This record gives sequence, structure tokens and C-alpha cells, in this order.
Amino acid sequence: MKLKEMVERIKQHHPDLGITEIVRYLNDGMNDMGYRTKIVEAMDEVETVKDQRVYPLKKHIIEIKAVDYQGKSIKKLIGRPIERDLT
Amino acid sequence: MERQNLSTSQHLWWTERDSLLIAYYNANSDKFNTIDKAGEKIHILYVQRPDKFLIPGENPERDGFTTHESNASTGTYLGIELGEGPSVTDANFLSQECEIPEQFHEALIARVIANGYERKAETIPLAQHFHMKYEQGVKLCKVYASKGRDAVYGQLRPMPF
Repeated sequence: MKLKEMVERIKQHHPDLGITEIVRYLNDGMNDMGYRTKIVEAMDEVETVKDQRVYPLKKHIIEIKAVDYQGKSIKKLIGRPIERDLT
Repeated sequence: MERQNLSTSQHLWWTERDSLLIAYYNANSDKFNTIDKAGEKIHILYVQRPDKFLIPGENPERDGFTTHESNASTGTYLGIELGEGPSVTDANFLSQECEIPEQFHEALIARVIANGYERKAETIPLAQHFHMKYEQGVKLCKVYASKGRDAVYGQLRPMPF
């Protein structure tokens, strides 16, 4: 459904609501639904940097489900190493 | 000893301070070693916040989003081509498509209708009614998100011991 159709349906109940307000409410709803249901998945590719262990995550990522390295799935470490490496 | 429960040398990942960390665990030396090669591929499968609808003039705020200006092949945002620049124009504003599957759009609409009815005290019961419809949609959406499209979902079967 396109935004136009959503706005039309909302306007049937609230003809006085402005379109910007409707869009803001829809964005709030999408954020809430996306966070609670984890419905939108995506995949990103990054390349390793020599001697770099830390790769900052993008802001729109809610939860990592899996990581592949060189095309193969790798396991998640529960906890963290005793020696912390900040590189 | 670094990790008592690890016995095999392997690459491992974990998260810390808003970052993904990857290292190679060497079972012989019992140490984590940072990858010393550049240009090797890491694929991250993740759950993301849905892209928001933009008001004309706004730019996509998704981190790393590229437009036609920088990369011709990735200039689509919520079903519209941002070919003339990185922001949404009046012409394509209403053509944006929601990233959440269509069967749950009704629930989203119900939430906005509820938000509208919350503005007046006398329509609060109506707001509650539409919020309930939204919550039902969220429940169905959770089921859909966990089982995907393969129609397989976990069942508890009694077993004799």
C-alpha cells in the first residue's frame, strides 16, 4: 500500500489531520512495530581492515542475527574475551 | 585461560559498545587474534528499523544510504527513485511504500486513527478500540516475523520418558 492510500484511509476518520502529522504518526507506528516484531531484515557487506577488530554498527540496526566471514557462517561468542582489544 | 568452553580454533563475533567485533580464536595459544588481512568479506544479517516516510525535502536518514549522486544502482528509497537528488520531491512523496508487509498496514493505519482520537477526551474509547486493533496486528506480525514464509513453526509434542 502506498502512502497515498494510507493517508486517504486515515483522513476518512480524521479529515482535520494534516498530512505532515499523519506521516509523523505513521513513522512512529512503523518504528514501534519494527522494533517489537523484528519484521524488517537486511544484509550488509563490509570488508575487513588489516588489524582492525572493531567495526562500528550503523544506527538503523536493531539486532544482529548472523555473521558470515569469507562466505561461511561464524559463531557468536557468548560474553567477551578477558583481554579487551580496542583496535 | 581466555575461554574455558572453547576447544576449537575458529573465527568468532560478538558485540560491544555499539560495534561488531570479529576475531580468530586460537585454541593452541588460547588467545583471540585480530584478523590481519584486509579486504575479506564480512556479511552481517540483521534486523533493522523500518525506513521512515519522508516529507518533501527530507533526505533518507538511514546510515550509509546512497543515492544516484554517488551510486546509480542504489537510488531507490521505499519504492521511489531518488534520481533527481537525495531528497523526496512533492511529485513522488505520496508514492512511497511502507517496508512493513502489506497485510499489517491496516494495523498501522489503526494506530494512527487511534492517535487522532486521543486528541479529544470524548473520543478516548474509540482510541482504545483502534489501539486494540493495532495490538492484534502486532501480535500477528510477530508470528509472521518468526516463522517467515515457510509456514513452519515450533510445536511442543509430548514425549514419553
